[in-house]
Amino acid sequence: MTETAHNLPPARRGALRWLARIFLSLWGAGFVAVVLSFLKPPRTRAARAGGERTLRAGALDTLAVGEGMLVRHGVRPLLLVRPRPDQLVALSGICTHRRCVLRWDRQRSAIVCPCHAGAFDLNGNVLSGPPNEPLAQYETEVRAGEIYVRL
Amino acid sequence: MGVPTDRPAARERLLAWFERRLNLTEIFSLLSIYGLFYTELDTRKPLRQALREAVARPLPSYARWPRLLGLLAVGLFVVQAVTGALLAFYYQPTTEAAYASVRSIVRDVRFGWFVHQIHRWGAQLLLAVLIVRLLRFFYDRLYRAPRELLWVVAVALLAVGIQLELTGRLLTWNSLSYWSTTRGLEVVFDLPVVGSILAFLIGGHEVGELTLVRFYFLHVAIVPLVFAVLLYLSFATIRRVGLSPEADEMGTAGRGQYVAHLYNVAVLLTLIFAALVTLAVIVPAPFPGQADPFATPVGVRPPWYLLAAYGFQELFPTFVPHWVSGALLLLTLLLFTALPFVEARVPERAQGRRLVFLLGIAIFVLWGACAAYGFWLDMPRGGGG
Amino acid sequence: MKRSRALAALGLAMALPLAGAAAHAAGESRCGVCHPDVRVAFERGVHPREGVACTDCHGGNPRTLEVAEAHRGSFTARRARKEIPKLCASCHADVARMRPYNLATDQYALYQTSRHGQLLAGGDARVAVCTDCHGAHDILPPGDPGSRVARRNVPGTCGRCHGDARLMGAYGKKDDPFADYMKSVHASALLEGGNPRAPECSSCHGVHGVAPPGVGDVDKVCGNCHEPTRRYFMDSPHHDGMKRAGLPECAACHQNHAIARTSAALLGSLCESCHAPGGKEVELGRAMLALYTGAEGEIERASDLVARAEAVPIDVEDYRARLEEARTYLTEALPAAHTLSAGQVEHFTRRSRSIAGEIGSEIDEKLHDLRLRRFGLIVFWFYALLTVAVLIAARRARQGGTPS
Repeated sequence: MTETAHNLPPARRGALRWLARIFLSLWGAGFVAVVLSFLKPPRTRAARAGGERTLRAGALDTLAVGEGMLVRHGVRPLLLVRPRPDQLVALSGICTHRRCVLRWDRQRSAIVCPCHAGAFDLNGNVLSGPPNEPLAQYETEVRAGEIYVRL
Repeated sequence: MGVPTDRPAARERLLAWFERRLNLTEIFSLLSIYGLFYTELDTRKPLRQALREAVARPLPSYARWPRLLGLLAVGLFVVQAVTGALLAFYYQPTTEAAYASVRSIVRDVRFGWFVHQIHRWGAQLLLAVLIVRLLRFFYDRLYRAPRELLWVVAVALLAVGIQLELTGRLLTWNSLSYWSTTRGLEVVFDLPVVGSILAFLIGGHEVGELTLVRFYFLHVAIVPLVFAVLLYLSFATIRRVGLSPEADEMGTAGRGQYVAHLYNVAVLLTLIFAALVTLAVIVPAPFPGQADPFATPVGVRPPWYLLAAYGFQELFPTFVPHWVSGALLLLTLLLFTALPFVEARVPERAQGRRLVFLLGIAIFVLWGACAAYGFWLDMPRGGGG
Repeated sequence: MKRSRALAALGLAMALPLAGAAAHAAGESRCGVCHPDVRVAFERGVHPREGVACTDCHGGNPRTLEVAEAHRGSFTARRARKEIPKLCASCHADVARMRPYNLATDQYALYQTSRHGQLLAGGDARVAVCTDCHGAHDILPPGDPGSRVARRNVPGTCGRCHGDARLMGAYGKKDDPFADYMKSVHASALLEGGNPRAPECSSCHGVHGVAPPGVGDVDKVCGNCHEPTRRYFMDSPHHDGMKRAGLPECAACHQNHAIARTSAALLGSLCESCHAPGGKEVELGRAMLALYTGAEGEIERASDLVARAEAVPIDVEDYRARLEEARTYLTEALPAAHTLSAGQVEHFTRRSRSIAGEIGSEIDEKLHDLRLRRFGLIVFWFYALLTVAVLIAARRARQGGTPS
């Protein structure tokens, strides 16, 4: 393979060759590292600031008693239900089975999923159907007639 | 040697498995047609054998620095393709989001500034390499038969490279880039036939939302494809006609030659990449504000490679309609491209050839003068028209 | 036919100037023939075009040129000063008459409650009456910039008497409010800055019912514009303390007329004018000043950093916006100092400092990043040159010679 007129003994030559290969492969490693860290999406300042984030979900009067309302936060839907005049429940609006968006069923007083007929109660626990995990729940607050959801 | 004996055997087995099912040599030749070898790979032979034969062939005398400009262009093009692909993971080609996405890349993304700057400087370096290549072909008379195609493809490469830079420039959508693109387009629109075709392609004379979307697709997909095809043609013709002005000299036979050449190429690419990285780190990009189609910043000029054309057009007094200067420019370009065929008509006398050479020098100097004039025209408070 | 037409034309030609003159009551009267200066002044004002004639105030016969005839009967040359308010009120307090102009009709009633009105009723005719401020003949509405009672001109109008040392000395007044006011920041805002909302004499003293606000009312007057400061002041021990001590609230520290532009430095110097030097009140003032200057210093530092960053260049758009936010908090800290609570001041200065600190650390990070990049470049060059050396050595190893 190699015709060399080198003066070094074979073992030293082999070691040097491996050293050279490792050294040169650092280029590849560096390239991969730069590309991977570049491709990782950066955290925006809002996320970096941390702390609590409150979502303003609309006026309390727009949500009738016994009705549910879907609220969007970015690409995350939240389901707000008002079972009694003074009670507000905020749950994640994504079904834990296959990520379909949930709906509030007034007759059954349950949160239902249109895809595979999964059902959840107001605490987020599964009532029936294929879902296995309960829904995440969020705190709500009403200030000056506006609903605020703490995420 | 301390190398275990079953490792090469395993590699052999793997290669044989693939050889039975695919023509590996054909697949490898798709890469090697871009200047890796100066001869054609024999695709009828299995990969190892074909490579062994190609490497063993004597290296032509021109396979040495500075005759590696084509390979350099390929290397820079690959760098541009990789950095461009990375940038495309974040860039949004709409007038509302373009500037903000570029700012996010430079400010928030890890190494985003690095990738962006390399892409920016790589483009300028690529154009410079293409220009130097053209000059070198002219100086070495490498446009004469049978190398006419080489010359034409080299000119086309430069033109397409300019298109790449022009379409890419607008994508940052900041005030300087928007207005320098608009000014550059104005120069090109004045060319008689080419200008109308271009205006049609990019959706009109005004640079707006549609232009941005079309430029994005052109820059990302179509023009790079054309560029890659032209690069291939360039090397394909070199493989047939060689790059030596005299009859092909055969270098000393010996397998080691080609491997040594590969190492030279590796050294060259390393140094060029290091130069690119240096430019990327040392020369920071300015932060002009978002593009405002209603406000022209002071001192904005057409892109540097169009300054000569711009200066040339501005030399004519205003009563001369624009298409006249555009037509003259187009004529010059066509003559330039058809140089091999034009020169072939010149009688065989030595003085004739020398005259063409001197004419070339004169044109180059004039080109520089026009560019300087175009540059001076837009000096803040200095330009006149 | 021709003659009747000519007569009709002549009649028309004669009627026109008369018709025009009828619109100008003053033109119909001949008073202006002997009194041309007065007539010119009167016609400059707003009364002539509303049908007010010389005789409406002066009486007499306007149609004759004979002096004795003109000055007969109800004629009054110069009204007695104490009759003037009632004379003007004869129209200006008439609601039905003033309604088309949408003018107030309470001026006379207010005037009678004012210091001027009370002194006049007591027999002192040196005080201001209507004509002293509005003029006798060339009376313009306050919206007209040439009017004596236009906002910009009010200080000068009041100052004609209240800046006259001899006149004021007769009432035992020793200070010169006009000169004081003209030194103030309010005057420069009104007169030099052209700010039409800046206060002049009537803003604090009232217009017709003019009276100086007494102890216990000063903060209400200033608080008309400086509302948050007043709220803070009312929460502080100064509010009751000053009332008990009989000190005019805001004016005790800021003066009543010569109000200078305030700065935080007052927190270090003013307290001693009432409180014992070295006492805890003065210490509190110094503490608040320290809070303020600390935050101010941080903002300055952040602002310098932003300027340095912009020169690099680094994108500084939102840093500038956040600096403005920090400066706003700092501006809110000074009114909060009126609560005499360092905690309240700190509430604002803390926000200022945290924003400035954030900006500072972010820019520092970026500048540090830049330095790191340059250092990284040097390391990279070492690596690149080493790579080149390795490649050349490997090439030589493979060949045993050095074809180049």
